[in-house]
Amino acid sequence: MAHIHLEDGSFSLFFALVWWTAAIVLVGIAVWLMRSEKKPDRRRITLAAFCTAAAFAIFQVSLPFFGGVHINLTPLIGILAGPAAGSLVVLIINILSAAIGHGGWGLIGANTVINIVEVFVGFTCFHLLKSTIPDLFSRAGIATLAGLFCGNIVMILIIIISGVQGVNQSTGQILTGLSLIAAVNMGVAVIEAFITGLVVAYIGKVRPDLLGIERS
Amino acid sequence: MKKLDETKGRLAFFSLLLLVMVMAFIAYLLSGNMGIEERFTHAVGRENGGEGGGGGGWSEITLEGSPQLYALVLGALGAACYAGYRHFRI
Repeated sequence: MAHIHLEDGSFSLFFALVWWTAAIVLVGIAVWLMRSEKKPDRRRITLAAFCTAAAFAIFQVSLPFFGGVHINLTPLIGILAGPAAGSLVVLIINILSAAIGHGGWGLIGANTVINIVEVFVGFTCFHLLKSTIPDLFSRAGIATLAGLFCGNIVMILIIIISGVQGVNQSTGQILTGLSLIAAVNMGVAVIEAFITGLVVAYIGKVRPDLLGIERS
Repeated sequence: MKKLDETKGRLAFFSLLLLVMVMAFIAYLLSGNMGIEERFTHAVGRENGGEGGGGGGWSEITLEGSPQLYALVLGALGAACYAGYRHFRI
């Protein structure tokens, strides 16, 4: 789980707009890719809708580990809905989360970029490792860890590039603090990897067609 | 062969999990027991912050958790969806 938990005004207006623009461009590319498909994949859209509801709900649940954390399910969104629909899903989740006070309005762009990276890396790893690791549980788990690791790296980069308003800490101090957060986040990624692995393994057993696997 | 592939995959996965868990536990011990918002504000040095903490720096207005903004954003989102639906005939 990588998500910037800072209030509005932490980033300057300029950087809030920069990350919003980046998110809109990425989501725009995703919409363009979806629209360029000759035949719309209605099954994938339905899955994306289910993923939105499930991930938004789980986003708001604080787990009593490491002082209280939440999971995102973003790599699972990537695996089930694909990176294009997944990008739209994370934008919607971030907007609705900000509306109930989970993440600032100005940080929706930055958080969407982070989550899109998680969706994309999760999806890519899951498919790249197909021949190396045929076991669905392990493959989905490893893809989740990879996706969330990259999400944490992007989160640190975004905060370092943007800078935080009204603080006296040096970049080195902020980097140290954020590295510790990323490491703790990866502990939560273990739980998320287990959940994703179990969900994907179960879907692979009962509805393999949803994962693009032919029934044997 | 399938069983061997499964064992190989699980071995790789659980080794990664173990490594990540050890790293996370060390980081947790170093940073102390804090909630996620507290962990963030502490890391970046914003002592008065936290989500919904009212530390907005743009124009001294509290943006988060505001029912008016909630309605405004949902209204704008709904309007954008309707415009997209009409324009692109999704």
